[in-house]
Amino acid sequence: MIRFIKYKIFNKKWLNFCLLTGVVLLSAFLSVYPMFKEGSLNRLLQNLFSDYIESNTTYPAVLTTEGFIKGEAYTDVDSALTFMDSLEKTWNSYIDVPVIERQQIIEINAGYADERISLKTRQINFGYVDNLKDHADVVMGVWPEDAASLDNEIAKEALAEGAIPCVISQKTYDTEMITLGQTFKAYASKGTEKETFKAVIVGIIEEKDEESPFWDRRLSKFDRTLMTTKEDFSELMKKYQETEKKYTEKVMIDYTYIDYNNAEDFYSYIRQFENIDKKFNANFKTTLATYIETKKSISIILLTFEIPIIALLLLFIYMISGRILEMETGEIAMLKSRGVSRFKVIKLYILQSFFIALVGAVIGIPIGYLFCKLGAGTDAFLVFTLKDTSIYRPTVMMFVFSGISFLLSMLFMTIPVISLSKFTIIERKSKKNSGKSKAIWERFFLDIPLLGLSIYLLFNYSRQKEAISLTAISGGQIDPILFLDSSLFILGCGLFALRLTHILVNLIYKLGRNKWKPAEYVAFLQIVRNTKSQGFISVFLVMTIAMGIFNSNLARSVNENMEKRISYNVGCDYIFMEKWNVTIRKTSPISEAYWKYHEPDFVKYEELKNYGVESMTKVVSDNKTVITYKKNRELGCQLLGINTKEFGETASLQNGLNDKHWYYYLNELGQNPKGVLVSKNLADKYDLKIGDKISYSRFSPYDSSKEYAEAKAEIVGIINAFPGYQSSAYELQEDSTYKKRDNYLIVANYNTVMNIFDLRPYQIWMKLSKNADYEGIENYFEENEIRIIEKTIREDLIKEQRNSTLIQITNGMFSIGFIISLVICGVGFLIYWILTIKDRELIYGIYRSMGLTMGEIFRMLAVEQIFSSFLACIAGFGVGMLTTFMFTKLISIVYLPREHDIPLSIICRASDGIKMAVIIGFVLVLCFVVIYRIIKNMNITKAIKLGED
Amino acid sequence: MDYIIKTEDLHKSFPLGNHEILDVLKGVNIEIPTAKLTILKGRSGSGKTTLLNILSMLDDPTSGKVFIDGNDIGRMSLRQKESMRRFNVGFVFQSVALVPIMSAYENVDFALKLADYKGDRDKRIKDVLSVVGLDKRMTHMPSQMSGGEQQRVAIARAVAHKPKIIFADEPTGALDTLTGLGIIKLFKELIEKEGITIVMTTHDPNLMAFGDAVYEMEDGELKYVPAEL
Repeated sequence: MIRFIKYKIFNKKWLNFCLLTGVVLLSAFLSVYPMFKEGSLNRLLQNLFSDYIESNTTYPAVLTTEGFIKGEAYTDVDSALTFMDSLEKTWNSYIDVPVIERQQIIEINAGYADERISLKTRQINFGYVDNLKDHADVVMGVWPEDAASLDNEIAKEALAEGAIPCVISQKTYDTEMITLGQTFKAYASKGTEKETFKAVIVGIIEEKDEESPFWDRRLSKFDRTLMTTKEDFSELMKKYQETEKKYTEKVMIDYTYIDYNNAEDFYSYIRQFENIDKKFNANFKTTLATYIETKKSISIILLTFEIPIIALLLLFIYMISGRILEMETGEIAMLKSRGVSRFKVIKLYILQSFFIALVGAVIGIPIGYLFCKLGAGTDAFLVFTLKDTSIYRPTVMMFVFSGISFLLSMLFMTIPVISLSKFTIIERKSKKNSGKSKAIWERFFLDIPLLGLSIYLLFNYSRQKEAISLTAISGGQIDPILFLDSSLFILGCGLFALRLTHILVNLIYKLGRNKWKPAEYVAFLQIVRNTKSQGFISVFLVMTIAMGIFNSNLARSVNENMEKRISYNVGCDYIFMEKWNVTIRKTSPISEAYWKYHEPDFVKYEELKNYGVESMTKVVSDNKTVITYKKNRELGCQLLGINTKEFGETASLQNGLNDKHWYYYLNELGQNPKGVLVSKNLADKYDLKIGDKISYSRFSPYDSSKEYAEAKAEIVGIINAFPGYQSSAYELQEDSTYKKRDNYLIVANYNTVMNIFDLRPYQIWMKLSKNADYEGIENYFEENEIRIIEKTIREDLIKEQRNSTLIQITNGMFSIGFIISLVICGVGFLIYWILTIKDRELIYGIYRSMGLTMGEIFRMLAVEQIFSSFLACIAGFGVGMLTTFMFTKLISIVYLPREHDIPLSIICRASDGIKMAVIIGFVLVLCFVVIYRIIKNMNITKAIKLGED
Repeated sequence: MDYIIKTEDLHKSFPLGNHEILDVLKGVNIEIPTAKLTILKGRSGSGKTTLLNILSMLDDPTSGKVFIDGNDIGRMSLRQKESMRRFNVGFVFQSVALVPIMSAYENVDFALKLADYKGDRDKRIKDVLSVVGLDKRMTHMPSQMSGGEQQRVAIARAVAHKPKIIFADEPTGALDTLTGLGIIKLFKELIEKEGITIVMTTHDPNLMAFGDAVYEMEDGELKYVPAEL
């Protein structure tokens, strides 16, 4: 039997090769799923950690606990540290991830010092931070170990009297009016006795690297804390033996070890630790919770992207397998006539399918791996890059999914046998030649309910846009049917379009039945009478092209809208703010402290022009501005203070968002120093008009509760949109849902703002050339020791978005899916036509014998191709465009859920259509060339002879 | 007697590989009388189909000449030959060779379209289908007809455009004797009514008596068989 199967396979090697291609692609595409899913979710997790770093500026994976120790067991630092190490060991026994840093803190509340440490309190703490010297620098004075070398007479005197040398943070130094050499008298109680001792400040310290994972608790959080050496702190622990000492254990684990496989376990451990220790805290618990919630959504969306392609592949396998079987009906009939039972025939084909499915499933796994890498490297639809995809790693689940593909392939290869093995050869021939049968979907009008259902769902989802958008914002699970509905529409509409093309061709044929020349007559008759056999390939063409067009338009719309919105949100190419030095004159009381900022040298930025900076401008940006109109006060407004000319040259705003070009508003503002532009939502809220007088004020930089100065202004323009301004934002509510709120903008002249509110740090906005050297700019900052405290780079944000999980899986899966559908469409199309021509060899022989010229035969084929394949392509294109216009805006909400000043627009690029037309055109031309060669080399007498055989 | 086709020393060879050549026709000289039924008989492989293919311009001789209506077809272009087949020749093959997607009516109509028939096509189709006795089954598809019926449609199609000559290669080969006889009678009727020349091959000895001229092919050579024999 095995030999017979081998003979059967090799006898139709090309057809079986096509079948194998389908099975390999199915296995590859199915095994892409687990690898792509794991990779994407790992990337999601890493992105969430990165987001955490960005928004909190601290390390994103810290296990923390704190508590109090006292008594004889803890009379020195080492005993306390040993206890704290034991806590870490307990955690590590569950969460076995490398520890990259630990911050161990012991603090003693030393009560009241006799010196007035501040106006608010006289409370001081003694603190010990393990390995402090490795992570901090002395900015003034010396470390306590080097106290003897301090050049400060007061300190020397105190040290000579036995005072404990201590350091304090810069923040404590700044805010508490403590000076170097200042001495404190502290009291430690031991029973009824009170021991008095002194501590002296010998140094002011700050973090070596603020971004180091070590500094989960920054020095600024060590308020009024006098830090000293291990030895001195051990002495203090003895002095304060009966006082509770607070310990804080912070363990920074390597978050890159937290991934798809263990994230849920970690989450579960964290919750268990929390139950045991109420003070336990893991700062990545929310990150993991968000990840687990999003994981479900991503897995389902990924699957919904796969389903249509899997359906196409199964259809392909079914079609090719059916074609092979059709050619083997004679063999089946022969086997049956020799007494082989139907069951044995089916068994034979099951075994044959088994071999093909097995080989295909095995080959599919490495191809799936390559597909995954290809998809992960996409930056947009069909834009493949060489970016790092190492996070996408092969997984054991690929074998499981390949196994599923094996079973599915076998099933779809065997289904046609079951129906075919019922017929005798005569019944089969008569069925085949009847020429009247239509495809099942056409006979039973399946396209109509499919189309109806998809439109009904679209209508329903369109009514729930708001809810979908809020679900997407909160990272909730998106209904997968939303995505599948577009595929359902493509299927229903595609079939309906095919029905229409059949009706159209029938009409054309009937209208000209008596006028058509022989070639056209035969061609039309061939299409009209042969709809069923052409049905498969037409469905293929329509589905592939429609899906390709829709997917490319959707991906492009999402990508470009996203980029437009990022560009709008940022307002220009590059924004940064340098850290300014500030002088605070401490007066009494402290709340009236006088501050003075020192503007850094602006001229030095001119150098940046060497790295591609075309223009730059100073911009005052303050999100806490108060706008007052009559008796109405609007808090938390955004103030932009700009130099209109430079701002116009540097910032960018797309046309059509305001009533007039935005330069018009800049000119209006530039002409009136007291003039301001206000956002339309603010104008609407308070019924503001051009010429109305308003005032605005800012808060003091050193006291956020106190307003500092007020500027009177006149409205010179009302704007819908402005670079860097978003008219709305979403706020998280207590019930974990999001609610939209309005943002209000006021744009004033830079000089006016500076004059009224004094000199304060400003942002620098830059416009960069296309070939700007971003790395060069970074290096310039570093080499010139320019400390950047705020930085927004448009390109980086766009890149980040492109790498966001949802965008990545969309671009990746759509691109791979499109390539696969093109391959199967091309192969299917070629095979269909070659087999068709082979089938018709006798007929062509007859036509030729009757005097039909070669030219007429080709004309006949051309007409047939135009009115079947080409029309199907046009229908596919039409369905794709229709789906684009009906579904793009709805589905884009999932990707861009926030209401925005840049409305969602549908982006269709002719280049996508051209790319596809070129590929499909190539397949059509290749097909035509193959057919041409077959017919040209056809020997009439041989063809007729073949027919006789 | 008028002869519509005449050959001079026809040779046809096929390469067999290994540098060997098979001579199928070895200097055949034949004259086909106008408006008569000429039968080429012979065993399988004797070369009668090859001769028929060359006479009907479906194949070219290795050497020798064929004259149809006095024209040397060796001097004709491919287009002229196609035109000749289209307007002046009809074919009937052993494999019925109807176009499966066309009904009986449409199969005949197609031949008329090809020959650019100027008369009333509908009347002509009905007439010829009536002659072959299928006027009641005009709308039937080939798959709905028996082998004999299909062959009769093929004959109707071959004669519809009033060709000068019909070439029939084993037209009764796939039919039972009675149906085969019916087809030959039909040929005779057509010769009588339409004045068509028919050249057919057969190996059925029962049909020889119907031929106006009978030739026997034997090992690539032609032998005239007198009618009375």
